Parts: sequence; structure tokens; C-alpha cells
Amino acid sequence: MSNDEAAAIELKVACDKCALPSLAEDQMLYALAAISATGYVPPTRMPLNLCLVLDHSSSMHGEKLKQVKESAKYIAHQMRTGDRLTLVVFSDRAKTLIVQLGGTAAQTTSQLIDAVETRGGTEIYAGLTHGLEAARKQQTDAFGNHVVLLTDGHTYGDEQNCLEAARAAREAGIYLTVLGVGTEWNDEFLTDLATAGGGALEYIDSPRKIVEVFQAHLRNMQTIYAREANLHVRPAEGVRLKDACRVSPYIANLTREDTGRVSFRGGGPPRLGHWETDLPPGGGRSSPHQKMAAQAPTPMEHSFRLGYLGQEADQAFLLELIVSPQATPICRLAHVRLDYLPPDDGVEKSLEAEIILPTVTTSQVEIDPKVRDVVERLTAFRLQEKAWASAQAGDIPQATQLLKAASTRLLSLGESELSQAVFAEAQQMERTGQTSSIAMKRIRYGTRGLIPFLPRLFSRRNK
Amino acid sequence: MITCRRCHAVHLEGTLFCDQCGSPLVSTADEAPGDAAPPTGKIKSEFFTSKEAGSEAMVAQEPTSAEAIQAGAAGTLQLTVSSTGRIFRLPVKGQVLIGRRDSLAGVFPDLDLTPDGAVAMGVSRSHARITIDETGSYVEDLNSLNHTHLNGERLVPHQPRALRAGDELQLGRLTIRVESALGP
Repeated sequence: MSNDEAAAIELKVACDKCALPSLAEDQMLYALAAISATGYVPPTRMPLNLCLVLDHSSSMHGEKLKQVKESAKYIAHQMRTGDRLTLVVFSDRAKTLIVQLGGTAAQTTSQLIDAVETRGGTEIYAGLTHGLEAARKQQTDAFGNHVVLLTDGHTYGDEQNCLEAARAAREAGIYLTVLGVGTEWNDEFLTDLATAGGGALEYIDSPRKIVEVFQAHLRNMQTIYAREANLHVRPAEGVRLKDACRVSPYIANLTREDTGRVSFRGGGPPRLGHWETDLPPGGGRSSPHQKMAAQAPTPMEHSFRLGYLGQEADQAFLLELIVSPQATPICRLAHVRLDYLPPDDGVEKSLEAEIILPTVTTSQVEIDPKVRDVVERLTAFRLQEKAWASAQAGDIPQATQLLKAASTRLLSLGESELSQAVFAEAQQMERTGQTSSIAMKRIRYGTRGLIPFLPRLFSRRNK
Repeated sequence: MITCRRCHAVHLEGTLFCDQCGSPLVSTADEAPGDAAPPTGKIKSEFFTSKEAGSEAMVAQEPTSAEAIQAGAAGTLQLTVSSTGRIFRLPVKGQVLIGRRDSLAGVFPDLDLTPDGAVAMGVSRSHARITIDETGSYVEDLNSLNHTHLNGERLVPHQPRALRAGDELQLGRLTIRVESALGP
């Protein structure tokens, strides 16, 4: 609904309905907010201050280390004039292998990388702090500052320190991306680590994909069009934001900017970017929504920290809005705003979009197939997430039912291979009462990356 | 409020999928008994409206051979194609062949899913059969290429399984909801 033509950066919002049925009760409205910069040409390229922190513990032996070395060499040769690259390797100790300034890979770079061998255990904190410190040494405001951590294992006892280090670096303008290789890494910890570090977590199931993943991340870092980006959602009176979730380039909870204006239920720390309604666990069979209406927070602005945005990965977010009965023929439902810093400028810019819908007396409002598709994919993701939580709580029958439900949705979406994998895991769980960590990672990271078509939304103008 | 036909969880109007069991939700206001096709004059989405969506809305209103079944004695179950909203009432007794029409091959299913995008969705010409008798309704996969799933479970070809209101059938990638024709 709003865009900045000059900069070719766009913020668009599409709702599942183009009109709001007049109802005497609350109703759900889905809004897909998408940011794209496919046509954006940066006035100047922002140089990169990149630190790779690579696990070379004993478990990386063989193909994994070989592919990591190839990736490191590839990145060293892709650095451009003005870029800074630091290469840190770690096991139970960490050391800086290479500091490459000016963008040119030295002749000795490949030799140094080739000489890395596997040894010792995995202490992520040792590698992470070494890498973050190395990035900090090279850091200036003129650079895009990134640390990419690759590991295949668990770390023991230093998780909290890792999270604090990542958070502090993020506050200082250094983003952390985490790549988990194989099946042994600690899923929950690395998810939290990437979230704390303001970057992505990527699952690499096969060593053969390591180079490809590094290439994709490098391309995205080299095409940054916005940094310090924040998405703000301000529902109008009578409208509440039930949930907000990133759906592209992958499904993830959003990091909530702590403005102190969003109230959360419960005494514990809220899940990032997610606040709960007061629906009871059983799905709300006894008038849950009256309770929700009574306890829901009053209208306010919700802010989500997005970090940096690169041209290689279009961003989209699904907003779930609860709309109370509306009295006016035209309803202003919510205001969406993106604030960001351009890569070459310290002056904040904004893009805005307004969600405005007419009310209609008919209930036969056609559902936008693309928004419905996104909601269905998010549903599949959430079902399998619930399944793992149920399995962890020891409720195997519930977990298998949820996995079968996720499998049905995936099949409906045309994801037959993943659907079969999910169903097979449900059957396996039913037989053995156990979950497989390999299957869990494959399913979790398969379903969260299920929104492949979003860039096409921008090639189709409203008519 | 919408009650999920499958797990009976309650959701707000406008909710698209049940967060408890994943089933697509349909507002009760959309299900006037006897609806054979989505009503005309629907309001189309303003944003990102795809060509496919428009064409689906058009084909959804085309009559099919299976709709003739409705003219006969109507049974207690009806089938709704999720993607297009087409509704087919099953007869009280008899068999319904489900698939896609191919006149060259001489296949004329009772329920022809061609207007619902059967080819793209991987529906076979003779995909599945529903048999209704005094003991109940049964669905049977006819050794289809892309299989038939009942509530997420792949059917073994030629082994009929009981069909009830609230079930979800998957023919290839095409989803069909089984609902009570007598209302919720």
C-alpha cells in the first residue's frame, strides 16, 4: 500500500480478505506484510567486516571439514576491495587463522586453510568470543559487521555466556549468523543464539550443501539495503494483534523490541515476538474469546527488531489481527511501519502502509489464495512444533496426532516428500515411543523454509 | 465462532485453519444446506489477486456430472473441495467414482475433479471410489498413482475404509472435506 519508488524498496500489505464481513462478534484477519528491494541499486557498496568462526573439533572429521575448508577459500576469494575477513577456528580452544584486509586473498590463505585439521572437543563459547572480539577489532560504522559461526556439535555449560556475548555484540552492531551442520548440534540453544545475535540459524543436513549455504549468506550480506530495521505494528482501536511471525525467507518468531508497551501473560519471560492470547490449552471449547477480550492488551504499537535486510532474501511477516465488531463502513485496522538505516547513511528512513478495509454485509468474501497458502504453511510449521513439545512432555499419542495433522497439511500444499517424512516419523514415534533428533531437525527446518514464492508477489502489480 | 468439524475446537470467525488439528475451517455462515457451488457475486481480493484464483472461481460454478447425484436421493454426507469450495452431496446408496474425465480413455467419473485442477493436483482418472450402503460410507483407493490419504494416512489400494463427517480426504494434492449434509 505504500512504497518508496525512488529507492525501489517496498513495503506492501495484503490481507486474506479485501472486505470485512459485518459481524456481531470478533473475527480473525490475516495480513501479510512484505518488504522487497529487488530493484534497489545502492548508491555505494557497504564494505563487509566478516568473521568466520569454524568448528574443527574431532566430529568435523572427513567430508564436513573438507567442505568447510572449500567454503572458507571461496569466501576469501569473494572478498572485495575494502572488505575485511577474519578466519577463526575452534575446538576446545580458539585461534585466529587469517586476517585478510583490503579484500585480496593472499597466496598463503589457501595453504593456511588446507592445513587445518580436526582435533579436540567443541567449546562454542571459546570460538564465539574469539570471533566476536576479532570482528570488534575491525569494526567501524562504515562496515557491515557479521560473524558466521559454523558448528556440528553441542557445547556444555557455557550456553548462557554464549547468549550474553551474542546479545552484547548485537547491541554493538555485530550480527551473528549460525550454521548447524549434521544432526548432533543443539537445536534449541543455537536457535536462541542466532536470535540473540540478530541473525539467522540455518540447518545444513548434508556436507555437500555447506558451500552453497555460505555463498547464499555472503550474497545477502553483500547486498544489504537496510540495517537496524524495525517493524512497527499499531492496531487501531477495537483491533488486537494476536501474533506476528516472520514467514519469509523462513518461518521464525520475531524479536520484540522491548518498549515496555506490550503486556504479556504469565510470570516467566515471554517467547520472543510472540504473545499469547488467553485461549485455554484445549483450543478454547468454552467461550475463550470473551476471556481473551477482557484480558487483552489495549491498542498499542508493537515493535519487532529485524536487523539487517539483504536483497537476496525478501522478508515477509504474517500478522494475525483480532477485529472487534466495526461500526463504520470503512475501517482503519492497523498501521504498519518499517524504520531502517540505509547502508550508506545514518539518517533513519521509514516506509508505511495502512490496513484499511470496507465492511460488507455478506459473509461470502473470497479468501486471497496466496495469503491462505502462507497461513496453511505456517499452520503446518506450528503443528509440528507442537508435536515436538508434546513429545518432550511425554505425550506421544498427542505428538503423533499433531505430526499426522502436519503431514496432511503438507500434502495439501504439494510438499509430498516432506509430508511422507513427517508421516513416517509419526508412525515411528507411535511404534517406539521415541523421537528421532535427525527427523526432528529435518522436519523442523524443512517446514520453516516452506514459503518459496514470495518474491513473485512483487512482480504482480495490483490491477 | 467456528467449531472445527474434526476436533471441535472453537475458533474466531475468519480463522482459516484449526490450530489444534490443522483442518481447514469454514464459517458456518458459508454452508447453507443445499449449496452446490460457491455463491455468485463473490467479492474478490484486491491485493495480489492471481489469475489462477479468478479462473478457479469461474470453474467452480460449472456443473459436473457428479452434481446430478444431488438430484437423486441425497444422503447424509457431502464432499467439499477445499480449494474451490465445490460441494457434492453423496447419495443414500450406491457408488461414486472419483477422478478426472478422459473421454479418449473412456473414463467418466461420477465426481469429475477436472474443474478443480485435477491434472495439476495429481488426481488419477479413476482415483478412488466411495461406496454407500446401509452400514455406512466407505472410501477405497483404486491404485492411484499419487495415492489417497484419509486424515493423513495413506490408504492401501482396494482396501475400503469407513468415511465419516469430519474426515479429510487427500487425492494426490487435492483436499476434500467430508461433512455432514444435515448441517453441523
